[in-house]
Amino acid sequence: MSEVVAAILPALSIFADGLTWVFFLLGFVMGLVFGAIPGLSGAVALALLIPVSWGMEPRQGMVMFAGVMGAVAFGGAIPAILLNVPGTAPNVATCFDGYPLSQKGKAGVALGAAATASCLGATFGILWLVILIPAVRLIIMKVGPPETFVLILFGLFAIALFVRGNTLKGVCAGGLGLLLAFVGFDPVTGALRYNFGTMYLYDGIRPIPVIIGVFAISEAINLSIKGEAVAQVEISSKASDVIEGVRSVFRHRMTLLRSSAIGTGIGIIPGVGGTVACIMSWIAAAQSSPRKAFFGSGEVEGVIASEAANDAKDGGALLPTIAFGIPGSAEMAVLLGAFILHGLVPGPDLLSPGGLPLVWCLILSLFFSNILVSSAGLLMARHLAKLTMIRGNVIAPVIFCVCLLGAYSIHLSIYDAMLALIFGFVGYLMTKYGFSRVTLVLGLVLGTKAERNFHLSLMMSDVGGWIFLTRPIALVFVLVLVAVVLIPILRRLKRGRL
Amino acid sequence: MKGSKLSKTLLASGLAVSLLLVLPFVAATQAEQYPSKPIRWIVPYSPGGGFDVYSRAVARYLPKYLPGKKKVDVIIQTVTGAGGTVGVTKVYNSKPDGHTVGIMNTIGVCAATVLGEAGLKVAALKFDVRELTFLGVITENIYCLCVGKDSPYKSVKDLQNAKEVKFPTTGVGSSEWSHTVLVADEMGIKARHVAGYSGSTPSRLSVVAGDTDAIMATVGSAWAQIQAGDLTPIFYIKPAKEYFPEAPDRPTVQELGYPNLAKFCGFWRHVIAPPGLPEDRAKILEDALWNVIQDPEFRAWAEKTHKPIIFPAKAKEAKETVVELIDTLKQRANVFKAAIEH
Repeated sequence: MSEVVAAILPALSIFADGLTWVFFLLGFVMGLVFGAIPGLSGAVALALLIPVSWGMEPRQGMVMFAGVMGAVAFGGAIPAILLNVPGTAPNVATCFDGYPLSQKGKAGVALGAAATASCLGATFGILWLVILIPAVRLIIMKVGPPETFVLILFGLFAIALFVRGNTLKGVCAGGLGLLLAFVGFDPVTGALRYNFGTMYLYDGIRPIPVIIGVFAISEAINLSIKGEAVAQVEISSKASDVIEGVRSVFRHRMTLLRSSAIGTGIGIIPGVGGTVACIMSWIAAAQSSPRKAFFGSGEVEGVIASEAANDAKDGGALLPTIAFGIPGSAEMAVLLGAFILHGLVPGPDLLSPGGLPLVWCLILSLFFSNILVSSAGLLMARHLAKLTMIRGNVIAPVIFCVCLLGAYSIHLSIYDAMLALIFGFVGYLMTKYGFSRVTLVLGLVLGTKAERNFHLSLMMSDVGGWIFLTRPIALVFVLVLVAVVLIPILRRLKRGRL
Repeated sequence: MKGSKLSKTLLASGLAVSLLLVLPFVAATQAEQYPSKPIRWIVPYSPGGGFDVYSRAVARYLPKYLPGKKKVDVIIQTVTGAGGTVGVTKVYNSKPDGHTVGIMNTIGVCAATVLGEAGLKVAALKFDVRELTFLGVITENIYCLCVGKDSPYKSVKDLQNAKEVKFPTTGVGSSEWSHTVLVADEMGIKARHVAGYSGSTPSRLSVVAGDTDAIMATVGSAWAQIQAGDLTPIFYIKPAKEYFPEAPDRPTVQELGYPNLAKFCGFWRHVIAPPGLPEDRAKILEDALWNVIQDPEFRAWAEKTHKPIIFPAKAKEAKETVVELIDTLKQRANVFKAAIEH
């Protein structure tokens, strides 16, 4: 342990060089901008910066990369709150409560809460990371396809929990999402499903253009039809709003802790991802809150849950990347490539006294970047909130352009832009007729993962479907799931009898 | 006043006309120079993966060996989709002027072609892969069959006698899957495919965790686990000692009496260009690539990151590998078909 701590000093020495801060700021600004533009993500920013990092000292390169990662999540929260446009996929749950708050003229509160939750979430994420280091190997080894499947099942059950108002319509939308998830090449059976002969659908319906479509473009359609501003009431652009947002985070300490734990935990498991982390954390917050019924209609706690989780997941995802060379997220996959290009081999080498200063560089700059982005966020929040006062028919064309460009830029594919546009209209009709867009996205994001892990579990099993009950961790997950489903029913029955 | 204005206009238009007359010649002399603009290097797989990393490492040193006073850059462009076929097709459809090149997962693309013909609806190329211009092979990786730490299987015989051996792969049609099918068929191992892992790392980990029994992996990608003792090789497809001196002593397929496996079990990283690339430009690129592969700095990087450069090849040999690979895979189309229908 003392070796680990001793490595902080050589890591800090790199920050004495002014040039390090220049690279840090470069990464930070890239992260903020790429986070705020839908479609462009942290992974894209990192890939673009790899050639820039040539010739840098590896530690300075890492500082730059961490600058990006720290800034991306809050960058993505800004348009999520103000315009219902999730800047990156893991900001999607921020929209659920953030945008309704903006509509109520409380964008300042939401931004203040998001900035504070991001920063504290990341900090807790890093703390969880340190606590979890001894358990990492165990988690990675013991969480196989059966455990992942049950975990995803939680998410699928959440479709039912999400539904507000018409249950049937909500479940229908979730089912449509699941159906969309089954398009494309199925690696399990080798079958090509519903691709209508096009190569584009071979990889399935990509979630990001769909998310951009149903949330952002449909909102732009809505705004241009109404012609009104986002905020339906006069907003008070006073600093007190932002301070109120900051305070709310401290009021919901438990949510913050729980969300950052969920974020870190899901971050460690490869292939689950930040989008699932933020949605799960939002659900957990909603389920355990006494104000459950208000979630999704502008409850500041929902913003906190989502933002704390998606910032904490960086810490979690970093762990398997450094320790085993297994990327925990899309960004980490790119970071891993950058490691190797700089001649650094993840694993024992990086965790040796020679490599540790570099790891500290990453962790410290991730921390600095989060603090900086949140402070900047708090300072700007009051002015950013004014965006919600701009008339709809002025801001809508801007949203259209940015969204289509963003959708196009993910894979430089015009079909992605078309997909986003189509789902923009689908999303508009869904809101108009009371179908939940959230359950659609949940079905789409979770469907592929659920199917894949279910098949893998059965294929590896010697006991058929019982594999979900014979593996200890899977069994615990199943029991928790059963409890979550049954307890409210039992409670209602009991109340009915009394 | 008026006169001077007129003469100025005349002078200006005269200059413009003469410039227009001269421009084509300037352009012509520029066209003869190659490369005259940055070279685009298409990577058909995700950023951060092996193909991306090798491409970026080569792209870094390539300008050093290209002719011309002004050094051009080599720019990486990621074009993913449909198991790499989107990117390879993009290279195929580019202008063959030497300003677009790419990298290819040879076994993946060739196996897809053969599987497509065998009736599996994988993403196969819509053209013959042999039409491409091949500039060389950066490296080939050596495959090995690995089992977990406490596995009951210690030898090929154990595997052959087993009632069923569980093999994880990233999916039907993937290069891992193709190799598993071929090895199981050739050696008479009863394989159960656990197909659909989200990448080769998770599938390797499932063997480490004991969820599955054995895996066909490249020595390079599994090196960290082999070194830590979490995975143990049973045999190598080609001798690995030269590149991984610390690798455990195990026989090669040649020594075990299955020499055929060495022909099609490999993981090549071919550098490709569109068909019809003029020979002089192909030569320039081939030589530059070869020089990068021999470059001491590039080699030092490869050494440091445990990415040994194994059996690199020049253009002629690179093409022969592809032709031979397609032929041998086609002869085993029935084996694939049986595995899919199973």
